[in-house]
Parts: sequence; structure tokens; C-alpha cells
Amino acid sequence: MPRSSSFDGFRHSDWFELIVEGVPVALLMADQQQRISLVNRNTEALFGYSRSELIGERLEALVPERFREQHVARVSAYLEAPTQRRMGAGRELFGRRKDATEMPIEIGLNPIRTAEGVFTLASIIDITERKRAENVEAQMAALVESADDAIVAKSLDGIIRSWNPGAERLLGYCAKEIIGQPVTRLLPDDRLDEEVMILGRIGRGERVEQFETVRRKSDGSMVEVSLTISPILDANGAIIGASKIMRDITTRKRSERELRRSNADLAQTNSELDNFVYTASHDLRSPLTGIGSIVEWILEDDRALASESRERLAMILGRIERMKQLLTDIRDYARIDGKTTPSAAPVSAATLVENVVVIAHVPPGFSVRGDRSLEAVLVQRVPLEQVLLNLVSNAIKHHDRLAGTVTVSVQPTDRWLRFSVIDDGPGIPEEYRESIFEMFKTLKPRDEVEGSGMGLALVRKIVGRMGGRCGVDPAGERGSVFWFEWPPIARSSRGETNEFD
Amino acid sequence: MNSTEVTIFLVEDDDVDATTVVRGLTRADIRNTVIRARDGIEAMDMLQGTNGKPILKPPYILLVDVRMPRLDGLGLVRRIRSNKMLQRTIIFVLTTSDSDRDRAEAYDAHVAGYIVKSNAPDQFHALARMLDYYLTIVAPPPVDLCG
Repeated sequence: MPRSSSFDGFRHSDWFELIVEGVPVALLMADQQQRISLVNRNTEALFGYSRSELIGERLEALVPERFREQHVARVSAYLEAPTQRRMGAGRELFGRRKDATEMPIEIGLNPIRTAEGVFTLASIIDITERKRAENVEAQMAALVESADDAIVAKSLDGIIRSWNPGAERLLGYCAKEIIGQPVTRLLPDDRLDEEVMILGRIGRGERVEQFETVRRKSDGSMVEVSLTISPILDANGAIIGASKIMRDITTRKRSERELRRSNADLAQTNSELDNFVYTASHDLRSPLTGIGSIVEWILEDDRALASESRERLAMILGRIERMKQLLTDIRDYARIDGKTTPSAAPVSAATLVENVVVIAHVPPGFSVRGDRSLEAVLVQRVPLEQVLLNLVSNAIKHHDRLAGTVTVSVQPTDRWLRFSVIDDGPGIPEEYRESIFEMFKTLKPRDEVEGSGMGLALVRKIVGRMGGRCGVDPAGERGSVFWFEWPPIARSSRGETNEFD
Repeated sequence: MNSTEVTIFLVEDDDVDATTVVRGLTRADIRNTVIRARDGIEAMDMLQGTNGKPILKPPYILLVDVRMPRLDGLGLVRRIRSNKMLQRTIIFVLTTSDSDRDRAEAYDAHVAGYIVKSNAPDQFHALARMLDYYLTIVAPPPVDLCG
């Protein structure tokens, strides 16, 4: 151990040295000229100077420059009437290290009277850590005070221990009247068991997150709140209470309810409209059938009918058939409700397309081909079949040549099965590619190509109800690609299809 | 009893539908008398001889439409079944309604058959043939006894 030096007049002993060096604070002694006459190892470490640099140096060397002048004056004043006390009570004191950095410090002063005069012994403690903790605490307190949410702490016995202004705003009680009260005062009578549940979970160290419930205000009225409750731990990690953040969700709940109600109203209106269309399209059929019967009776009974009249009556029958088809299509359109329940086991898309070909009345000269991509894909028959049938029928019906090929393929993407129906017909001019999906839209006179104009509207509505999109792109110089997105059947991790009961 | 003695009593509000049935019967060469009421009330009057209608003499079978003004087909069937004089009447329901509920209610009221009218061209011919066989083979309830 190096000897402390240059303190004449003291009788050094090993004991004295051991004590000075061993004290767990920085020690420093100064004479009346404010010169340093003794330091210990902690002082060296704290200020970054070696002992030889400090001994004989003036005290203010350890003070930031901006405080030096007043420091000298204060020390002089102290030396006039030295007492044992803390230095700088009420002020923040800073020390200056050799590298010019500063630190907050606390200094205890004690005058030591000797034959050579009065010396001042100072103990110096670095309070950087304490200051930092105090700052954090102050910030936290400010946060809690200024928070819009109610923040409440309770101990494990369910007694309220802290109460911020947010809590006062939300529940009406001021901190003074509610702190010390059981937290059950805030609970509606029919929800008292919630507290048991909450304390149980907190006791197990669990958080309760965004628990939506109701709390009682000081005036007895109820408020809808969302609670997040966390355990409060002491320094040893033991659970000593719970902090509770409470947010007023009355407005959100109200708008949720309003939204639900207006959605229900809308669904109701839609369903009434669909029912109306369904009923109307059904009821319109029966007079139409009657007209058809009468026309047929005339054709059957009146053998003397002029051939021109026969042709006109045949035209009436043609119009009747067209209108019946239209009514059927409108009825189908109104029936699509998006809640189609799987009715049978899934089939491969290839099988489905084969079925579509059978129903579609493919005329001679035309072929409808299922691409190999269909084989690996399983689908539910309803209502996909209706979509594919419409697209395949359209491709044939609107073809401009006597022979042609329609190809159906599927491309699985990450979310969808993307089906394509590709034809080698005349193609769709760009300006019509959007509008052909509208109801009653056709591009040719009805007498040239029979069609209700409902087919693609039906396709778009069904695909839309399944969440997908549809559209048409050119297939090259001639032809079109009608595509649509279809949700895949959910698969389990083993790749088996889910079972439908 | 000769099957042609049985009167076919058609209860149907729609002229075209009534004519369709009559034409079907004629084409199938069924020569039974066909009479018609336009709804359930008129049919009851004709069965009971009330409200100035002459009473319809048995034997007869009824072909009843479901949807009609004033008293519909199922209402008519129920009235007939709760009438001691009429309860054994043979009734076929002839309708465009294929609703399960209508069908169940009809059979609950002990109809002889529930026939859904389709638009198939030979459907009425088949119906007429069925009635022809029915009238030939099935023995009707006795005329002179009432329940």
C-alpha cells in the first residue's frame, strides 16, 4: 500500500492508513488555503487523477469551471465557521473528472482541528445512479399522472393503493376517497367473481390483457372498459400487487353495436330484395307458361292458319322461351347467398370440368378440354360448377367460327385457385372487358345469339361472394381468357382434405 | 259401376291451367264429365248444393289446385275431411308448388295423390292416363252410405 504523504503534523499509523483507504467512499482533506492535503484510493478512482496529481492541488480543480468562483467563496464562508454538515443542501453538486466529464455528487463535511489549524474532511459519493433512478421515477410518475387511461395499483388483498387522474376522470372517485378502499367497490354486483379470477391469475404471475368488462362509477352508473392487469413485483421478484390500466371503450362498443345493427339491417334488406326477385321471377313464369300454352293450342287446333301467322306464333313461343330463361337466370342470381354449404365430398377439378362438358351441349366441331393442371386440385362441386358452366357455354355460344377449342385450366397461387377458361373465339374488344360483367349486358342482338345477359353477372356475383375476383384478358391475336379466383378447400398439415359432414 | 260415370271435378282458378287439364283428358280420350269450380268456396257450394248451386251427385273425384283465392286447395281438402257427408271424397292435389310443406299438409289431409305440374309437353297426357287407370281399377267409396 502506498503511503499517504505530505500531511505533516499527523502521526501516521498503519491503522489510520487502513481506515482511510478502506472507507467505501472517496475521502479528501483540504487545508485553509483550499489545497488538497489527503485523498484515498476511491478519490483517485472517482476523479481519474492519481494521488500525486491531487495532493497540493486547489480544491476547485475538482469543480466544473462554471461553479469554481462561487465554490471558492462558499468554501471560504464555511471555513469561517466550520461545522459538521452536508455540503450544498438544496443544491445539486457536481464534480469534475480529469477528463472534464461531470458527475452529480453528494459531499459530507467535517472540520478537523489540529495544531496547524482547521482542516476540512470531505466524503464524496457519486450519485449518478441514484439521480438516474430518481429521473426514471419522476418520468414514470409524470406518465401515470398525465395518462389518458385510468392507471390503478392494488395490493394482493384487493385494496386500491394508487389512483391517477385518468382513473378519477373515468370513474369519478378522487384519489383521496378511493385509495385504501377495496377494488370491489368498482365492480358491478353481478361481476364480483371477476375479481377472484383476476387476483387468481395475477397470483400465478399472469397478465390479464384487454379484458372487456363493465365497471361502476362513483355515481353508480356503469362504464364499459378494457382492462390490462399486470403483476407488480418487489425487488426479490415476489408478487405484491397488480397494476391495472383501464380504458373507456363505451364509444367503441357503441359504434360496434351500431355497425352490427346496420350490417344486420343491410343484410335484411338485401335478403328481402333477393326474396322479392326470387318470388317475382317465379310468379312471372306462370302467366308466361299460360301464354305459351294458348299459342300452342292455336297452332294445334287451327289447321287453316296462314303460314305467316304460324311463323309469328312461333316467334311468340321463341320470346317466351327467352323470357323464361331470363327469369331462371334472375332467380339463380337472387339465390346466390354466399353461404353455400358443401353438400358432397370434394371432387377433382378435372371431374368437375368433365361434368360441365356434359351439361354444356357442346356442338359438333367444338371441343372442351380440361388442362392437366385440374387433376391435382380438389374442389367442391357447388357453386363452382355454375361458374364454369356459364364461362364454357359463353365461350361456345359467342364463338364466331364453326369449330373451336375451349380449354379450362387452374393455377394454384398462395391464396387462390386461379381458374382460366380460354377460347379461340373473336376476343372481346378492350372497351367492353369491364361492362360485359354487368347484368343484362350482351354484345350481340338476342336474335343472333340467345342470351339473357345474366351469365357473366352471375359469374361475378358468385366469385365475389367467395371473396375472389374475375376478369377477362386477350388470349393472343384471337380469343379470350376468362379467369377467376376461387378459394381452395382447406387442407390439414398432412395434406388431407378436411372432412365435411 | 262404369268408370265413365265418375265426374271429374276440377277446382282451379286459372283458365289456362283448367283448359290444359281438359285438353289433356280429351286427348287421352277420357269421356268422363268434367266440371269446374274456381276456388274452394265455390267447390264447397257445388259439393253441398249451397248458395244456389246444384248439388254435385257422386261418384266424383276432385283435382284441386293449391293456390286459389278465398279458400285455397289445402283449406278445401281440410273442410271436406271434416264434413261427415264428404269426408271419403277421393282428392288429388294438382299444383305447381313442390314445397315440402304443402306436400306434407296435403298427405296429412289424406289426399289420394299430390301431383306437381311440370312443363313437360306430355305431362298432361300421362296425368290423364293415370286418372283413366285409377278410375278403372280403384273402387270408389260407396255412394249410398255416409260415415
